[in-house]
Amino acid sequence: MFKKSSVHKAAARLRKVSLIALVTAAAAVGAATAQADFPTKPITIIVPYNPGGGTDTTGRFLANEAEKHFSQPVTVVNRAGASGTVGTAEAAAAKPDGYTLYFSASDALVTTPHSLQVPYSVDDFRGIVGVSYAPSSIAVRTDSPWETLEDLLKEADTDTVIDRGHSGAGGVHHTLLKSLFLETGIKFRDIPFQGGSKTIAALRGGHVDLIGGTPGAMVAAVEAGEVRVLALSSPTSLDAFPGVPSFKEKGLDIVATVEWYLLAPKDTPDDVVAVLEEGFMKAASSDEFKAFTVTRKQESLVRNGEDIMTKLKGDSEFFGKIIKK
Amino acid sequence: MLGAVIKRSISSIVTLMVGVVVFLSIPSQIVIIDSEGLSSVDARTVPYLITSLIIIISLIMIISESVKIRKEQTDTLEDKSSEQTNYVRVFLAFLAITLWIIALPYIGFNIATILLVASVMVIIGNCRWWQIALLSLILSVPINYLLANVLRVYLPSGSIFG
Amino acid sequence: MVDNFFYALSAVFQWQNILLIFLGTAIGMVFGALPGLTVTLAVTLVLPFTFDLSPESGIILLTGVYCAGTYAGSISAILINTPGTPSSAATAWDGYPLTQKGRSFEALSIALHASVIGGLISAVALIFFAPMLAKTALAFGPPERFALTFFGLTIIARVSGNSMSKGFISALFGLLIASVGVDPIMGVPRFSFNTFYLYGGIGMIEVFIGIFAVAEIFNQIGKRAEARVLSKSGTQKKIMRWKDIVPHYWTVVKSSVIGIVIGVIPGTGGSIASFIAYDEAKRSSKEPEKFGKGSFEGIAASESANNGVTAATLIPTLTLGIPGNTVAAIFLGALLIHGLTPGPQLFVNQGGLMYTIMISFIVANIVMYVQGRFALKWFDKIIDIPAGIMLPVILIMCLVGAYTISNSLNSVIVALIFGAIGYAMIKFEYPTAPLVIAIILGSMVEESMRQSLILSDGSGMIFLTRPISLVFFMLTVFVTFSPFVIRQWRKRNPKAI
Repeated sequence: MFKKSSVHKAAARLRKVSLIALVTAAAAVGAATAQADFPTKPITIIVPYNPGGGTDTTGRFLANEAEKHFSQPVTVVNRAGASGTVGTAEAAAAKPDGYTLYFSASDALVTTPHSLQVPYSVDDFRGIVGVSYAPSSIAVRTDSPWETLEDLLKEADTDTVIDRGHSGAGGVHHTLLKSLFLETGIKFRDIPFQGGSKTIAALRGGHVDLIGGTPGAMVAAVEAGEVRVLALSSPTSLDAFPGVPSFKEKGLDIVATVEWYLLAPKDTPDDVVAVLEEGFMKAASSDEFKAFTVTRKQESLVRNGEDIMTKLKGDSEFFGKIIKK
Repeated sequence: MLGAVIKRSISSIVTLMVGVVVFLSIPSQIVIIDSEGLSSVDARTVPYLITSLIIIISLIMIISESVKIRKEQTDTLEDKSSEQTNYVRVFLAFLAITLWIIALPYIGFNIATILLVASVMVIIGNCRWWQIALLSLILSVPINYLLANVLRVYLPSGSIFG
Repeated sequence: MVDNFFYALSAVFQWQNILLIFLGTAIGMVFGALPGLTVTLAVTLVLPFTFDLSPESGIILLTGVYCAGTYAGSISAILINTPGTPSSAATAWDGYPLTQKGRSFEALSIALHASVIGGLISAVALIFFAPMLAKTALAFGPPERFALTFFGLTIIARVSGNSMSKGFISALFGLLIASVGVDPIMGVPRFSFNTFYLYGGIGMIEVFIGIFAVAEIFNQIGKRAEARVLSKSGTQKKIMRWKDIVPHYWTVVKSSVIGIVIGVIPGTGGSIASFIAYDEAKRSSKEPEKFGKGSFEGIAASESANNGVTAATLIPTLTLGIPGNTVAAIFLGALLIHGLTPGPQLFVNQGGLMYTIMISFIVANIVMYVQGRFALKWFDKIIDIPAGIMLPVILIMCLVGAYTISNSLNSVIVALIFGAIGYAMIKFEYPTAPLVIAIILGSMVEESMRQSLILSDGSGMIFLTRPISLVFFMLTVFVTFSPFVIRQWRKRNPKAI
């Protein structure tokens, strides 16, 4: 006859096994239903800038493309303010259920936290997709005495004070100018404007001597023969800007790019992110979207969630070092 | 005499106090970072200028008011306001809106708005019960539906309902 | 040029596009007229639909929304003292007193006619002068912008009403409110009181909803609103006619030109134009004492100026990429989405599309006039609704409208707080106009002043050595002091008039 205790033990073991099996099965079912169930309501993308700007239009175009791959609408809301930090803070604090996402360009997440006290950091997000990037650059008017980067660098030993303009304190372009002038010792006055277009207009109107900004935004002025781009901050020169060298090629160690990306709050579950990543990767890889980024003079480069986070964390560290100098 | 001055210039005293408080809070509220090549005008200059002017003008108003009172001492100060204002109602309305804002995240737009519209209409008075019922329904559910489906603005649906 | 012109004509006069104009103006009119909802919201919501249209059709749709929305802001300004756009704030100063006198329909009629004329003049200016005006716009650097915005601020002294010192206090608080948020030059937060929401500053539209609409609701509730406050005057005309606007034609033309000139200057926007035009109309008026109490001339000036801005502000938007206001910014966004890059070459390379924009402005204004004539009769009925019903409706519209600005309750809280402040201002007889002007201009004045002083190493002489800036300062001195001088002169020579 069986001993009572062993029966008991066996039953207990059996119960344990079945419990584990049950839990695993439930988890598997849960994951499967989460896959199938997400999204059950509209997805909202926070853009931390005003409607109509470069980041906003890119975000809206991406949302429009992505709608084809989801069963629910994908809407963009603009939460502008304080160079994008207000919207970023809100996105970082959003409920991590995958229904609130964050589309932005580098500044608010990567540079500003080093100069402004903000309630978030890069680590509060996880990646979904990186869609494109653009270098920064420096530019002058065509009637300027500085024909090339070398001409400008010669000013280091003179008393010339250069009025330099950029699109706002603490941004990528400001940081680029800062590191350039710090490294070369050229004297300057620093005039911030609210946004890239105002900076370009100030240069064309002769109110400043040199500006830092996205070269894509300057193309129109360059084609009109009013503005000359001296150097790019991408690692190498780009096909879109023939004849313009990169700082690195001229022996200056200045590399800085602006990235455009879609992120989610850090605690968003893996399976939800997987669904989002799949849909948005398809949207970002579509020919329509790629063509759009090219017209915006962004370099199309689709990266998955992991890659874009690695890039952003690296950038954040890099800009932090320059800004703290 | 002093009582009359305070009564007449209560608003100037309030603006004076706000001006002083903001003026004193500037050092704690605006951090000056040592920035390169900027002019002598910094982030604090304009706020200091504004608050000092508020303080000066408020003081001038208080002084000129008390001078006026001294001149017209014999006049009765009770003003001739013919229009009765019911401040209790205004306060109740303010309170109702405040409660709406507080309750909205928990009970959602529909219920909160029904309650707000009903209470505001009761505060205003002179409304029939069916008007109250109808209007509070019209302003809650259909507006919520229109915003979500046409304008894609999603109002809070209430955390206590999951 | 002629080719482009005919291309544009054929693009606009397709039946689908004409339909889009009708649709757009209807949407704009509804959004502009509803308190709490704004033309910016309307344009933002329409934007995604333009993705699937051709660039021409998309622009045509947006133009309709933009023109009608800008005009329709005057409807709620006149009827319920809540400007639908910041630029119709000046319309409310005279429009609402007229409504209280029971002459709302005439006020609406004047606003419609003035808006349409302003819009048409502006569209013509865009057609003929755009490339030339774009060049002048570039001359506006920081010192010039400071001189212009400072000139705008001095209007405060003239709209303060009876008590100059109360007006100044009101304006100073407006400047203080404008300074909240991250500093434009150094990027440090100011008056954030450890609330991150305030980093972005206090939103202008929320403040306006509070100061105008919510405060007015409190005011009505306090006044025992069961008594009918508004009743229509029996003597007012029931039909609107072009003739009504004729006595004001000079004001309308002058204000439209002011609107165009201000609209062309990058980054200033329409609101300041309507204030300057209003101020100028008051200065040159035969009956300046009526302004602020219900002057038709005041409405005509303000409305023709802010519609004069509509097309003109597209000049810096299209040629420099600098939108003058949020609506122009979205317009720009629509162009970007269709792959068009703003710049000096846009008029050369995309001539056809540019003329399409201009012609659709003209058509949109005409359609707006037709729709306005039909719609105004209905809008005017709003004030017949008893206050007990109307007030809750306006209140919910305002709360929801404030919510839609940022999709959060923060904006609603701001609107409520400013409702209380606005009510206190009504009770203690502080004018709200200076506060509004100061909030709109505050950050521009400070930013341009500090940029200029950086350029000049701290010397104020930069404002007097640059010609455009000098002209504006001389204008400021003239406009500010000429009334006193004239008054003194008349006192001494009473017979000379």
